[in-house]
Amino acid sequence: MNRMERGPGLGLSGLSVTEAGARLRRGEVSPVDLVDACLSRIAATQDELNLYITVLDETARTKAVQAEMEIRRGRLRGPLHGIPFAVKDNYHVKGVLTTAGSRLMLDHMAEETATIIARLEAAGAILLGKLNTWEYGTGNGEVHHDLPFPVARNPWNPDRFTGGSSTGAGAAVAAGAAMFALGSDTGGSVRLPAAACGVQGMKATFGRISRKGMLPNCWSSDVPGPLTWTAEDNALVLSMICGVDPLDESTRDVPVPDFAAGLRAGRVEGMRIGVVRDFGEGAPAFQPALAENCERMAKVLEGLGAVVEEARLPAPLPAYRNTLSVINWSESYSIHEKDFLERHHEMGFALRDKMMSGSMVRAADYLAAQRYRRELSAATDAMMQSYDAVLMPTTSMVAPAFGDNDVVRAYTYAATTSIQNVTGHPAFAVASGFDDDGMPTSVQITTKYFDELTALVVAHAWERAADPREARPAA
Amino acid sequence: MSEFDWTDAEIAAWCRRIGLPAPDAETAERLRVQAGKVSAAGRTVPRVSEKDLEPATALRVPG
Repeated sequence: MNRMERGPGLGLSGLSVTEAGARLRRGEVSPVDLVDACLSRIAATQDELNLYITVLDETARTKAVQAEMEIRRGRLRGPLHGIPFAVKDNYHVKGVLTTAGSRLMLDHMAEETATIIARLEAAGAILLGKLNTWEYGTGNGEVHHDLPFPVARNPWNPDRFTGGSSTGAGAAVAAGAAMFALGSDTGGSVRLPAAACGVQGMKATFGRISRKGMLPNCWSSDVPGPLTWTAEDNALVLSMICGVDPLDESTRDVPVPDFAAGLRAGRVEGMRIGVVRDFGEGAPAFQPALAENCERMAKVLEGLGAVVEEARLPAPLPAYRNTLSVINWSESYSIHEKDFLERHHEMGFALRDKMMSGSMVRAADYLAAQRYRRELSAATDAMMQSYDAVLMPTTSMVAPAFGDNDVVRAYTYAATTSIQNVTGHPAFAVASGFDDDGMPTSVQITTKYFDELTALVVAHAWERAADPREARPAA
Repeated sequence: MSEFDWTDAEIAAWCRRIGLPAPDAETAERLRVQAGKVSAAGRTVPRVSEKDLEPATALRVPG
């Protein structure tokens, strides 16, 4: 049963970051009000939805009081000052447990804070806690209910999957249990929860955002990313977390624009926008609502002055998926091999299953996959030169019910998200509407390397024209 | 040895090689399925020209 409600029925905790920031600046609400509203929402939903692994209620309240005093004295640090947020429990926060959702990490006290969390806290954002996740943010796509924390559930329908691996992140934003969240994306782990839960999730260009202090899954694909209620919120967070980090040598020294200002000033008029309709041999069948809502978004953008035409990927979708699987199995196994050999009985089935796969990949196949990846990246980038943005359904289905693991696994493995993890391009998963059962659908907007701004502009235009972001899961 | 249909002895040898105890029947069957899946995925990855010997092509990450 879907539980939708029109209008911002969640009170203060359901405000967008942008709106909450505006009210803070006008003195209509305080950081304490916002933190208390989110903590109340967490308390009201935790038993049913299992969104959080750790709630930092005392420190969040203390920081909210400090933020309130600073703001009253006129020392507003920026648009995130006083805004409550949460992070997937694969990020380190000094003095807080990092469990990674695993029995192997239940007593792991972090001794450092991830670079991007430190940046957000320096900007005045207030950490509410650590969110549910698949074990180590990885697995075989299945849900076996065998981890130390109960599985997170979808606030649109608790019988449904949240998308993974950032299972708590999309659900927490949709439920109003955090104003924004950080996830991490190796094969779609930001975009899939965003799609399942009807929120906006950005996988930026590989190298755009520091991974320092985030547990690895697959070194050559991992990208941290924000999940937010609106595109403008995503722009505000991105501006704080993007940029080179001397502690993560994968990051690139590329200028970081003021994404929010760029989003507000941007126009889709005159943009050339491609729509991928044919994903090639072996691609999954898409549920009608996914394809129809993608076409609807294209039509709306066309009405705003964009030139829309069909785009063709240089290779079938399974070529991207298989390439990423071989790379991910290998790198993930190299990360977890010691624990797999010595403590595999403490791992959940989904991680053990993936480790088995990883143990069997031949070096020749791994190297072939990395070399083919370069060809795929170059060919995909050549296609992208013809467009400002390319649209495609993020997934082939809406969030499925728990129970049939063949279907749950297919939610991840029949998605289109692996394309941009192979090539490194940015991709923004944006809510595109609902199916007949009221479950959210999603479109991902892909752009050229380091051009996240154009994806934000397109998403913002779509929201203003067709999706004012009013429908929320019922409180 | 077929990579798509490992025998019980091959699976037991594989487990020894990577440091796992000999598997029970259920685990051996799961390993047999995994081996087929992994081999199939690896074989679908096209090989670039064998004349392309630039070493950096193997390891450079995208972007």
